[in-house]
Amino acid sequence: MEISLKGVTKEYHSGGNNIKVLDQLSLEIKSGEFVSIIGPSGCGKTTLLRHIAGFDGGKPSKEIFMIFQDSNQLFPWKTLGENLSYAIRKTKRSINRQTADAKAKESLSLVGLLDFYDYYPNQLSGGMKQRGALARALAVDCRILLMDEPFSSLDSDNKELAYELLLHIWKEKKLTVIFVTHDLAEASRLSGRVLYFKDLNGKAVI
Amino acid sequence: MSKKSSSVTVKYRLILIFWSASILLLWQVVSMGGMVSELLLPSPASVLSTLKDSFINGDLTTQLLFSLKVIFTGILVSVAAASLLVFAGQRSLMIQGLVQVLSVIAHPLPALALLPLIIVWFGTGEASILAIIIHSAIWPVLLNLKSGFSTIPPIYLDAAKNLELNAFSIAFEIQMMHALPHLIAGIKIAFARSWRALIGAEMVFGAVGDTGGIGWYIFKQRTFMNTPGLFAGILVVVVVGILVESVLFRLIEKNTVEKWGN
Repeated sequence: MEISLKGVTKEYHSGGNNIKVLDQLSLEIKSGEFVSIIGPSGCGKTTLLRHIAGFDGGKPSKEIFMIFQDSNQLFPWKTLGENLSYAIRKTKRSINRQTADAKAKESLSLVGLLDFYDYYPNQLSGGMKQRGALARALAVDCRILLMDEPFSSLDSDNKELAYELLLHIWKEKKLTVIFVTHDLAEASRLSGRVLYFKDLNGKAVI
Repeated sequence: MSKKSSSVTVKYRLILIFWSASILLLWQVVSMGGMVSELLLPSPASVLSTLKDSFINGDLTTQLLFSLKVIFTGILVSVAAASLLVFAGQRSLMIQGLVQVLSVIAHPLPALALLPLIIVWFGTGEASILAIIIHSAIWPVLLNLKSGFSTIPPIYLDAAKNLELNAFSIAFEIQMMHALPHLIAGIKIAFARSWRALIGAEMVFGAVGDTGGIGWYIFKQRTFMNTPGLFAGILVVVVVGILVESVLFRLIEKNTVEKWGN
């Protein structure tokens, strides 16, 4: 699944002023590509991802799944396994509970969290929660992963493990990934194509 | 829990037991000493014996069950109605305004102030008692639920949208679950308010249903100047209050919000 944006503009009203966060932004990403977008904090990277996901008035779907920077994105009232099983049942109406549970286990084993199926999110570390969120995206068979600085709170060892896991899953599942970060080393470590946000924004439509 | 805070908890529990036992002992000593007439202050033993007799040979069990049935029905209806009102208020500004106006008017109004009007409108049957309980319960539940719904972190709503949930599922499967600690707090206040109103209403209404409720039991004891019975009724009211607050709600919290890390 590919992404094609042409001349996207987003404005916010704040304190009587109009702030143009996305200004004639254009972006082309091929299906199966892993692209990193780099830029300083507050430049509009998250706004761009939210636009692609459809959170700003579009039609969000499980096809384009967002992994947020905040690791508290799993529902805290459900165990890790229930979070995934619930997501599967909600996005595939015809599936029964047993099949959903089995698929949840399969996704958790992909990210190495099968042993934590019955754990509540508050019993997991930040890195494990992010892996759990990734497993949820895989469980619903998303085609495009939007990742908003998902590993920024991890230490360097855990970051490296997360990178390896993400690259392995990207190749195996043939996903399209947009990875947003402010860390150039992280961007180059992960993707073949690194785009600078300032090069995309404020340009005329191609 | 740290070792220090656990030892403080144990110490505090011992203090609570000490004071409870001291009050009981003082009561027994005063009533045995003949300083106060048995008609005014019966001994704990005589109260317990009356209590036992009322449960075994009298109608106290039926009366207590009647009161509990009415109060739990009223609270259940209130929770359902409050949930629908909060949901409707999210969907429509008109409904939100209506809910706001109604809660501002009705929330501070004690149920007992409405009692004469309810008697005029509905008579003195079970429906009237239910109306009083619903009035006592619905507003605290509604206000707490509203605050729980509105304080949900946006990230859960985004995740819900990603899972293609419709508005109903977002409200009742996501916002409602996030609002559970608020809802429990609201139901606690609702129970405390309804329990007081129920006892009062039962005393005024008399024997509603076959035997009436616990409030009617207490009122009847006064009519027959059965002071041990009066104390027995009050004791039942206190014990039910403690059991609901400290056992039932505690159990619900332990198995939900505490488990989730709230």
